[in-house]
Amino acid sequence: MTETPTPIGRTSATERDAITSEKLTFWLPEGVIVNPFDIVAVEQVNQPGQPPSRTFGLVTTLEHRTDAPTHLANYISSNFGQLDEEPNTNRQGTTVATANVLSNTADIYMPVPSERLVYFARPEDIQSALGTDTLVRERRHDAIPAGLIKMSNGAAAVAYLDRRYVLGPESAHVNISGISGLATKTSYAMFLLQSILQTARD
Amino acid sequence: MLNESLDILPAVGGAVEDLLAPDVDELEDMLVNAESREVTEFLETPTPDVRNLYRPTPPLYRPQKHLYRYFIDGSLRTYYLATGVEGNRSFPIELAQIGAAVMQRDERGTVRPLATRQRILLLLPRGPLGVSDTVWNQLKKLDASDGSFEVIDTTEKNAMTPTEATAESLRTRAGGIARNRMHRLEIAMIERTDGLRGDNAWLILDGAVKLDEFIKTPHMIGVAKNFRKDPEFRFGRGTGKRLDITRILAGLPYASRTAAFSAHGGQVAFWYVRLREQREVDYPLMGVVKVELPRPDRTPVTAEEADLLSRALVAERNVTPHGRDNRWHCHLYPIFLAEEAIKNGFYSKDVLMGMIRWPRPTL
Repeated sequence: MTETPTPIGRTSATERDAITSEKLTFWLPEGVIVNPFDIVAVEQVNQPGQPPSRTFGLVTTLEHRTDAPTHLANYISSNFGQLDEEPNTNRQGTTVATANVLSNTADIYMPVPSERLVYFARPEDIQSALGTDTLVRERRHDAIPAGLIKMSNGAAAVAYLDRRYVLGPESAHVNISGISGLATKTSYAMFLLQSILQTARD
Repeated sequence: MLNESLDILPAVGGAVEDLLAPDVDELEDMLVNAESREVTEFLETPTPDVRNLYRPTPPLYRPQKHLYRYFIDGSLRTYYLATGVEGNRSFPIELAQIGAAVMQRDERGTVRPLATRQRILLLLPRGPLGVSDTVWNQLKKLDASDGSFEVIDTTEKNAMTPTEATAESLRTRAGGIARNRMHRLEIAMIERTDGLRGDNAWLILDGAVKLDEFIKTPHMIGVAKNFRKDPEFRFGRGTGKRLDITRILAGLPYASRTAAFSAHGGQVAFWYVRLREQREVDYPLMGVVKVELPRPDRTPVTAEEADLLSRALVAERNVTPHGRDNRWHCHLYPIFLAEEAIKNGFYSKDVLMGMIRWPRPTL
């Protein structure tokens, strides 16, 4: 039985902070945990007569905002700088997440409307978001496991590279970026080589 | 020179541009409490000593005792739409959005709306000063069954508009009537908390406890951010000891309250509480609120109870809406949130005006 997904927030466009074709913002209710690099899904419009499409986004930043206009307001609200002052009422605030749009199931890149429910992407959705769903479904032998995406809700999905673009006449290269001096790039290169050797038939 | 010859009562928040936006709360206090200008009795037991009107009320914070759990406020916006002309009569037509909200605070200090209500009112006069009965009857058919839209006669009399309507007063009467309807929504919000209030779950109403009628609800106080500055306090026989509000409030220490005075023939006990230290604010009357407690049985409030209510109120001074509201020094944050909840539910002016189909002028 398919479990009903739990929404984690609602999209939010404001006068000054629009949702665009490249990014969307959503607020989180209390108790929800989202991390950078989580992949989220939002219902989006589609052509007339078609079911709604879904837009996937990669969370890039999280900000906590309150209604205090300045830091001075917060200072004053602590009884003018008393560290032991306990306010009777918590200041209104929420965490706002920004996500870069990765893809849409119907290739529609209209800005996601405001007030839409946001969900964590399911493992199969992650493949769709990364554009590797067809690769995994139809050419499994060309799918090289390149790493594991783990999200803050515990869901995980393997990230694949298409063998044809790594090896052979249509290949390009793999670019590994990272902090220098930690041997992480080298370690990853070793892992990827081993993955290729274990996976590629030829 | 002025201070040497007179008692100066600075306007709260400093010199303010008058007439453009007179303080509505102060005007309403003067109107509602018109017959209570002279205060001659205490409504507290044991009877306070007129020589010492102050009692300390150090803050009692929520973790120690969570007394106030419900907060009610109302808001309104009025728009002058047009001048209507019928026959040889012309009159103002106004539109008002009114709303009220009751907020509930949980044990962790988080405030959420328990209930909100909003209405749109079309205000214009009926009769010799306004539309004919024929037009009126047609307009009244537009009233929504759920009360969300209502056409109202601005010649009606109520607590906000007690006098007869004149052609010159119609526009200001519309604002008063809208305010009266807003207060009725506030009363509906109070009723929403029936069964929820108790000895450890009080309600704070923004403003006075006398609206059209006295609110006789138990476990409720009214807290006014601004109030009339002209009451006279006279105690004792003969000429007695006369005090004015300047002297009473100027001497009121931080986290203290005055004695409870009697208003409306003993139906309301009221006193003042200083929420802010003098050094934190610019003027002596900043940071002071007026508390009203209904006493439908006309019995005095015990000093102990008044102290408890005041101590819990002092603790409500933080967080503040500093930077968002000029009245931050005496504005309780949950009441501010109630205002925000209501105003965020209002239609914007652009949307409201866009919903109106203006008639094309005929040449």
